[in-house]
Amino acid sequence: MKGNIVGHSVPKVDAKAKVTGKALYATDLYMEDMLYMQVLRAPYAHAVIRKIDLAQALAVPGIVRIITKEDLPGLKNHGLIFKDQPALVGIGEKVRFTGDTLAIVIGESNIQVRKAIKKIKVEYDKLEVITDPLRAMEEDAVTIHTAGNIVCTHKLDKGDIVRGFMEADLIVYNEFKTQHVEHITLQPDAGLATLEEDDTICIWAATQWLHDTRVDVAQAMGLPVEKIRIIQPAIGGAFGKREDIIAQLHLAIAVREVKRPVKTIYSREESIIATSKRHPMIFRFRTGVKKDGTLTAWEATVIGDTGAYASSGPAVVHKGLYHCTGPYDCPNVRGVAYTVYTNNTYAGAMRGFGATQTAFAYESQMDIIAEKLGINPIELRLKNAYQVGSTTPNGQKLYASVGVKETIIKAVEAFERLGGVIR
Amino acid sequence: MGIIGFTSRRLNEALQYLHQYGDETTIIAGGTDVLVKYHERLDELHRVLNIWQLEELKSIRIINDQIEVGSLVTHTQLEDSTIIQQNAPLLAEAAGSVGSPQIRNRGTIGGNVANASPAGDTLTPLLALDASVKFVSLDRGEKVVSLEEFLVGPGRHIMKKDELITALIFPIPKDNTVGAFVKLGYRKALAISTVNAAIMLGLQGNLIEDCRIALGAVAPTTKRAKLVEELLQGQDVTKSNTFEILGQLEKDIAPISDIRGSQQYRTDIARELVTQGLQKIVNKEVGRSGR
Amino acid sequence: MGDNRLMIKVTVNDRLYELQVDPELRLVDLLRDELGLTGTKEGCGKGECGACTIIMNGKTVNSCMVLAFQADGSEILTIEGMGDGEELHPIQEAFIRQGAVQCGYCTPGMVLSAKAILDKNPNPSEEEIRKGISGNLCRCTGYQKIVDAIKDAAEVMGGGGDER
Repeated sequence: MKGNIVGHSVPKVDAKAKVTGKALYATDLYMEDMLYMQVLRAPYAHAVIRKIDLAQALAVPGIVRIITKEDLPGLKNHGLIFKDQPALVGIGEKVRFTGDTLAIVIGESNIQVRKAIKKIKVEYDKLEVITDPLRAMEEDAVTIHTAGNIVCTHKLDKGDIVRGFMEADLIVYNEFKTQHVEHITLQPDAGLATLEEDDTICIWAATQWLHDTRVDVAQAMGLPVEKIRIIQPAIGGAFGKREDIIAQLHLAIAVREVKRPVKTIYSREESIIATSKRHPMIFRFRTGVKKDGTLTAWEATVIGDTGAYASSGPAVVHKGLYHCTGPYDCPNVRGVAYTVYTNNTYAGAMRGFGATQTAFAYESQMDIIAEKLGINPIELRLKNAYQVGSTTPNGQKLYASVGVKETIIKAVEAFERLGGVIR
Repeated sequence: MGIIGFTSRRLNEALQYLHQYGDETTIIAGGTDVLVKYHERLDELHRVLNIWQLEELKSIRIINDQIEVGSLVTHTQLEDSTIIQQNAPLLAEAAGSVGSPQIRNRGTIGGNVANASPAGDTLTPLLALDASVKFVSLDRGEKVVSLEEFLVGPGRHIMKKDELITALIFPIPKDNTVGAFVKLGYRKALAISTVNAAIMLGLQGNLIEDCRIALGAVAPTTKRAKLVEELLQGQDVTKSNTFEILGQLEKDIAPISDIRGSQQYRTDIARELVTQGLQKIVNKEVGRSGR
Repeated sequence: MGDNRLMIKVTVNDRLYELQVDPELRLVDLLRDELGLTGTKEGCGKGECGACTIIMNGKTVNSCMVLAFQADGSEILTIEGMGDGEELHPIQEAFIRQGAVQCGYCTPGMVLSAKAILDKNPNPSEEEIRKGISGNLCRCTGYQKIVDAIKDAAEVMGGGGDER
């Protein structure tokens, strides 16, 4: 049987709408009687809010409503893994990063809303701002969340690490650090919400997980799930960022209060300040290796900065740990990973989900080992590369389709074909 | 309430507007600086004078032994102009390195000069070309001031609020001169220069008879490296000890540390870029071209 | 607002509009919010991303970097004006054929930059293509497929033998 899909180049289903500009993204939705929403973000990265004065902002022409936590005492936290993130921070509560929200401002035009936001006066008491996860882990560091600054700890133990180091001719220790990375989805975060006659809240906003978003918005607002409807418009890029709730909850709160369609578009700066990032990670690797390049032991400590809220952090940082040896087989591995709160912008999913950060560290470690042993770095990799029968650090046996060696050989060939020289 | 916009279609009209409202007016041409500076706070502007439609300021002309570039000439026009390519290829190259095609289609040379950024990409070649700024006001008439005197600090120049730049003027370089422009930015497109450099050499065989070196983003204004210029005079441009003189460059500059580079990095890069520029000239990768 | 509005005439996709505009209104807002031409996207508001690229008097510009009243008297082409009614422009077809469209948010600006490249030189080199789209960011596909699409469009528009 021969079809016309598999083995054929098939145009994307929405490609025509996109090349003609007809595809509608959340930014492109307009409704009659529509209002605009923007939120006031935290004035400081770690502080207790004492007073929010709305008087001057409410006097700006065109402002319809300003919502603060005091209007919604029952509002619950949201979050992908832990419910640790507030949609609104109220009086006496803490802001934990500069993206936390203090007020939702709704008005007839975006310009008016922006003017009003500048006129809200906030009084607050500053707390120590922790931007370094190592500081966050110290005994005397102020706790960002009541349960402490370490969100969770993951461990890894394979083989006999002590024996592994005893068998080694050389032990190499290094520390590697990676930085925040912003997804820069080309479409800025945006959304539109309406309130239907039966009080169902409809939200049009780019999301990667419609059902999770729906459930999380419902539980935060204390509404039955059926009262939340998420409609997916065209998505202008996501790359993991749009796994988290971004504007959906604020829109739902706003539309319920004003009972008119509400739209929001973030500026690029706001998107960078308020939405998730790739986790910066610290890797401490101690690797044991024989003279001939055979890996004998790999000890790893991974510290992932998940910022003010956990988001996908526990899963991302855990993954950073169990990829610690990369595609290289090592019989004895021990590791620990800490997911740590700081006052940085929260970090979540981004392309590779923790594996990319680790790749920088283990590939650097392999190069350093090759140099110390005087072995060609490609040979070192081929010698240790996974093959059928290898076991990963978390104990998964690879029983089929392991293409690491082949990939390395092909990559070297391609490199040489393009004029690269391997020393 | 609200900002007041006005489009002038004749120079005199613009000057009258500035005479009356100069103190409260922001001049906009291509908008590529103004709209970035006032992003999301355009309402803070009071009066906006649009000069984009002043057709009389949009040409590049040779007048006697000088080249006059109207202040509304865009970077794209500079890049594509035969007059500029033949007489001042370093200026065409610098203009072509600015921003992106979209920015070059709107951004003007007058705007680049008025913005007075220490990193302005057309400013270094203009300094190396010994350019002057022509500006006008309604009641004090026309003034021509060397670009070097015109620029006084980051974002600052000597012009008053009722004055408008009408042209940049520079002498047609002599036949024995060669120029080069070199820039380092974080990306090839849309990157403000970390450091940029423009060089004009007058050569007698291999001997440097005359020399102007301008550097950007290494001091409060784009500036000439006058000590090194003097030391290079009479030197053989192909000899390695000529390049050693560039070690003195740090005495000519005063870079700061910021997000685009540290003081030390900028000092090192300035030397490297001037070295590359001289090498381009020696290797004849650039030319007085054309003639 | 209101009192300071300025009267402008602009031709957008061959249609003449006479409009009263606020002096602080940007061209991108005029196109999107007032004329409903939402094919023009805004990605950064600062001329960095090129999503709002339009062709104005024959040249690509970032419509977030132009005040609406500055566009008085100009002729504008947006993505909605590409192609001929239901027929796609060959550049649009090439983008679909080469898989140069992913999230699509950069696509309208990219297509207009491609048009400007081919209007200037129907047979551009790869370097000219890359320089020509250097003001348009794409975060999904990488640029190779977009470059391929522009080459493809050049061939088709030049009537070269490669039919595909």
